[in-house]
Amino acid sequence: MHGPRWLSITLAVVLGVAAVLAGITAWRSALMEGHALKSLTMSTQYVNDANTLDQAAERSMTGERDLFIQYRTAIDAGDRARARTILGMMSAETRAAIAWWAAQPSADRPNSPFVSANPEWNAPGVVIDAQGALDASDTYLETAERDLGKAHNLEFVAALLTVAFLAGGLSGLFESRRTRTGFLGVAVVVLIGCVAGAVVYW
Amino acid sequence: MIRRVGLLGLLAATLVVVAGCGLPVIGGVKDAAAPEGSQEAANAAFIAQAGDKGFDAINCDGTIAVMAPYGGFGPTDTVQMNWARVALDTFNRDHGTAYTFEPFNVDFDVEAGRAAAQAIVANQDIVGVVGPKTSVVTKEVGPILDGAGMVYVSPSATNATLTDGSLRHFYRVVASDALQGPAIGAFIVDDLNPSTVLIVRGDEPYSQGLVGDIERVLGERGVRYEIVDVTTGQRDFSEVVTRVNESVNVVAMPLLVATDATLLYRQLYDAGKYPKIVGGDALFVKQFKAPGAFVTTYAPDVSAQPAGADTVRLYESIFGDFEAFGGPAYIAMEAMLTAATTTCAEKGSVTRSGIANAMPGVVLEETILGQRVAFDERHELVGASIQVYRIGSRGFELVE
Repeated sequence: MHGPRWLSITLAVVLGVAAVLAGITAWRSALMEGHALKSLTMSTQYVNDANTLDQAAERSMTGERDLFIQYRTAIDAGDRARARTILGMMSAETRAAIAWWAAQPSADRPNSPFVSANPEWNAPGVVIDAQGALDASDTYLETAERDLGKAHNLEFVAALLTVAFLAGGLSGLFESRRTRTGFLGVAVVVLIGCVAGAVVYW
Repeated sequence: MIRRVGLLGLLAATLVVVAGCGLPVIGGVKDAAAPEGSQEAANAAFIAQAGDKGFDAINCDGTIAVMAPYGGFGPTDTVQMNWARVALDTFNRDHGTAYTFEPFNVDFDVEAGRAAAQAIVANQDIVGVVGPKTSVVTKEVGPILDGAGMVYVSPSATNATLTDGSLRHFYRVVASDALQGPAIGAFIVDDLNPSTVLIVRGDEPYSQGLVGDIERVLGERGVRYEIVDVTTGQRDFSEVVTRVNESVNVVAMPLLVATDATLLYRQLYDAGKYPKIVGGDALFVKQFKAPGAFVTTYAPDVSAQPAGADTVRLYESIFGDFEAFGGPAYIAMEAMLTAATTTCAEKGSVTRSGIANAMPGVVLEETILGQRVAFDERHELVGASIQVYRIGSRGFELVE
């Protein structure tokens, strides 16, 4: 080994610390990528849930209106058997909504059972649940983006550490103490920067 | 010795790096990840998305009566009921609560209001009321509800005397007419350069109250004005049209019924008279078809608020047509449910008296109307203000 002993020991310490830091940042980066992937999956899942709920609400709102019109038409035509059949085709919620509507005094009865005033009409709740799923999806997406950003920054820190390795490695090749100290200085500065970066992007 | 020192140095440096990187591991993959990390934060956000209200998911229930029209009166009559319903369902989803509602079809009809109030008081499941819609009904039903210790939060009853202390449990989430009338008067004087103002006065308390305030402001500011009386449902406004002569360049028409006001506007237009038109909050509806007219409103237009964008989309996806004037009904329901949940969290159940105790302290820092909600000692909305809109090609456009 050339030059003073402290120089060699310092070089060994710098390279050792750089190696440990490189390992830790790579592990943390992989961990954050894993979190991001999980969040992205959850986000997609919630988008699917939202779409399903939304379509269910849409289908339900259209379907219940159609069935109600047919039911009224059958009642008005005096075709009770057909009215009963149509009633049987309705969901329990739709039947409850119609029962509430039918029970209202004629002066207060809305034109349709499917209005906000009808506590038995559950379509608003379904649409709101769909919106909730969409909101959750947004939250997961934001989390995923944040984690992915951190992972990329940590990867950059790990890449930057190679400069410390290069400078440290080169310092061992030279006889000149000044040159060795210079390269070691570069390695130390880069290492300190990477430590700071790792803490910030943790 | 030197070798030992070197090794110790290497070890120390390594420990420093590991400690620097590792501290967050020990103290906080959970900590750092919970507030802004991945899964935990997202889960927490979904479970208590309205955590800004400060509640955990707790098992609270109770029935809220909604005194608002839901059919049989006019095309916009279900709007407040719609908004109240969206607020209730959204609150339940966000807080894990199980509140229900009971609708009461009450608009201007005092008798219907009285019957509804008696039914509400008799139903022990009902713990609070959102409504009534109108001041005239509020004056009538207030003593009945007060007698049962029932809090009632109106989204649109604006008469100034309602908060004079005679109605103990009355609250409102909109500006009082004590602000609106003077605001209309000041707007006419400051922005419309009036020569003579013709004030069209309706035959009911809403219009008469506003006209009184407008008259006072114009008198104080030295502006000439004339008053002409009309009746609700009047079809022929030829007398009003005749009174709009060359010296009249502003017509203030704080009428209650939008179709009446539209008819008056059309008859002025058909007669070739184009004064500047100013109306009150009752005309802040699509049914008032008067391009270029100015209208005041007691609460911000929810469709113009970024904070309300998601809720407006939600409303449209459920009900289709959107009407901005119902936005305060959402806030009224939100305030009521917040008071109910506060008392539920403290006492374990929701009662009328619990809501009465909690309501004065209700604060909603963020609402869909973009304004903070809190009540003063008279149960008026703190910081309430009047907005002026102009009916433009894209609907209501904020003037001031």
